[in-house]
Amino acid sequence: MSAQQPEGLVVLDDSRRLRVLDGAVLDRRPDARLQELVAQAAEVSGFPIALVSLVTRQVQFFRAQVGLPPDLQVARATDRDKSFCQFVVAHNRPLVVEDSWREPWLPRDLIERYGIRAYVGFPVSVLGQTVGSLCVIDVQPRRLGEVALEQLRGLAQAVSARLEELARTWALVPGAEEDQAHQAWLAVAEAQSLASLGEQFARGRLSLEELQRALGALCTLSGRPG
Amino acid sequence: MSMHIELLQAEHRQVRELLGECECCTAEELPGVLRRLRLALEPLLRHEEVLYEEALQGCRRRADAYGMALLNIFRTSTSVVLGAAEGFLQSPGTLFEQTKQRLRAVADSLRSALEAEERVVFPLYEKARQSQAPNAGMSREVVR
Repeated sequence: MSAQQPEGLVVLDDSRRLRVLDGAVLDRRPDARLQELVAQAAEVSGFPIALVSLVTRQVQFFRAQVGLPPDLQVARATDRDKSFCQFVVAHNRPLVVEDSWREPWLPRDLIERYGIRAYVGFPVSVLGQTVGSLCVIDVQPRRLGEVALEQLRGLAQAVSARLEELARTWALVPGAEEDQAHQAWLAVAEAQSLASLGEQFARGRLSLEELQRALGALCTLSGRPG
Repeated sequence: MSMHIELLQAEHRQVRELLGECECCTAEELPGVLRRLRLALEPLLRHEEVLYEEALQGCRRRADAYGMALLNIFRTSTSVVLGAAEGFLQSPGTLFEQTKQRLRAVADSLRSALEAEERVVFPLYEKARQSQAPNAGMSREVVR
């Protein structure tokens, strides 16, 4: 387990992998079991932020989370190409970053925008496809011991098992028409982050600065400058 | 309340009603409701463009940087959200239960976008109309 170089990301766009991201797997409604697992991940690591991040066509979507700042709690996503989790998925192996400032190959956006310093992510899989990561994040440089890493590995397996259960409530139907419907729906599911941010700002629950920060982290999706 | 906003509010109401119908219709009714929803979104997108443009001009006249920032944000977001919803309505799939489940995300996104627009953009548009009052006749009209 160590830092990895940004290569081989083409697998992220594999249509079989993306096809699994559907139905109850990629749903904004909270799932109590996944929520419980991210809370445990934060507890065993001592890191303030823990996520189940699903890496889709354009974004990483936070299926469950604890400790995110308010704007990311609303957006529930950032651009995929700014994420650390993309590397966990692409290489299907854990990623441990003790101090992001010492890893120049990592995307800088979330480091600069949210001050991320330490990251540990383990792959999660559904129906044989690596779809995301169970990860913990801190804004301070951190190193985890072997015991905590093993516990996180076990929690990632439990996340995979829960996502697998959710996936089995949804029949994957082959065929060009269903593929097209899935792709069209995926665009809606991804755009939902923009809609949620706008609504919560309009209701006075986010400041303009928070809205702009979250939109900057979603500039691939929104077409706005980062 | 200007005529433009009244027209857009009526279109928003229609979209909300159709979203409600989508959520409770039968398998036989669904294709027809989805078609009506798609038809309702097409003019809405056009009319919103007029609204945003006029609101933006109003902000420029008033040198309202905050308003311009908001309009730029919401113009882009609304366009992405409505565009994605329209794309889905063109390719909703063939399986009733799956389409209904996917429609939840479509409905949530559209409702959020409409509400944000009513709360943030309509007041800016109304300000633009007021600041433009002496030349109101020169503004572009929404074409239905």
